[in-house]
Amino acid sequence: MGRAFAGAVVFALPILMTMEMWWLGFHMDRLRLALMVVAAVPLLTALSHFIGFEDTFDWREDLRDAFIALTVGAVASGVVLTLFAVIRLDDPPSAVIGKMMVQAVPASFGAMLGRGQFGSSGDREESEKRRQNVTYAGEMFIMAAGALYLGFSVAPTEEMVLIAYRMTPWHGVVLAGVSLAAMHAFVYLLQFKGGETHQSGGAAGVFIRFSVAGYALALLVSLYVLWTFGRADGHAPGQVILATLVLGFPAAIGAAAARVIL
Amino acid sequence: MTPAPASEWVAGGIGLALVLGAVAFTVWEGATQSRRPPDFTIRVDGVEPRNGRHRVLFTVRNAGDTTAAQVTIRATVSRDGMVLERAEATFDYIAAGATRRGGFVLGPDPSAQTLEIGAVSWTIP
Repeated sequence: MGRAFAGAVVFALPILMTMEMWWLGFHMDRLRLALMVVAAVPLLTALSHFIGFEDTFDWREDLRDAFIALTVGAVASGVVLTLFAVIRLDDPPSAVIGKMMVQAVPASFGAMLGRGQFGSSGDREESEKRRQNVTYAGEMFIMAAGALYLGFSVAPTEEMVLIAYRMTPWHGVVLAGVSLAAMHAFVYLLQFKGGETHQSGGAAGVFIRFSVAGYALALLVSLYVLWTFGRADGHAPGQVILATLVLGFPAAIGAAAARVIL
Repeated sequence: MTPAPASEWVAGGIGLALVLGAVAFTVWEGATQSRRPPDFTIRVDGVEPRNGRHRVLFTVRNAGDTTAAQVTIRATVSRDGMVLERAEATFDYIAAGATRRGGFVLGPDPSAQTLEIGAVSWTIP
């Protein structure tokens, strides 16, 4: 449990100290906030299956661990934000709950990952064994989780939209190419590491099935995060796509890195 | 080495379509856009009495191809060419093609006078 709290704080500290995240706590759409928290439950459950607090193979235990992670995330966020005087006792309840909930989701990812990263060597072997048997859907899930995590930590800042505003569509096209190339470089790296189990179909096949599919997934995750934070509201389709490509860059790196790290 | 299952190719195919779609749309925008400067159109959504004053809600749209920052919208209430009241609202950003909403609180009843709302200044981020 100590490791879970440590993980939550380590992973969430950058966004706990981002003021846009505090503002989102009181001005973001309540239904989108609720949906984000609800959507975190199946994500954390699946994440628990891959790394987890304990060596669970039972989905009920994974589900329980997901709720523990969410609780740890919410409590850790609440404590740190109170320490920073971001949450004060005279704040309206909806603002306090909102500030905690919006941070609880990334913090709960940290809580879950904390166990995976700070785990003992015995656990590591165990998870290594499980890692070998990951299905294609599992690989895609790990990529989505990585995209969500890194996308989440940069999406709330004003710089995110400002970059999209400054860019021309041509910048966007080049950025898409660079993101895809970076993603494929990671896939290639993993092949050398020997962890890759889905080798068939040749180089083009690996590119389409992993790099392109993974990048598309990172873009969808980016679009979802932008929508959740209200960054797409009132914007023309071209601007939404451009912002998605901008957020898609860190999301793609996060997605690819997650496969190497987890 | 077993061949990859069809489901993986389907996932890859959908991904390819999504990525190519996004890139194609962006290329199309880049090719057709003329980089027109910001151009604001403002619509008054409603005027309501509020504590003896009048709340004016409006929607502003940037019809240009360029995003504007620090967009200042000014409302002027006048009668027979004489200015009765002025108010300003500032938007951090209004992206190309985007709409944003804002409001003014004015003393004189705007429906009985001449109300003008327009963008007076902006910067390019």
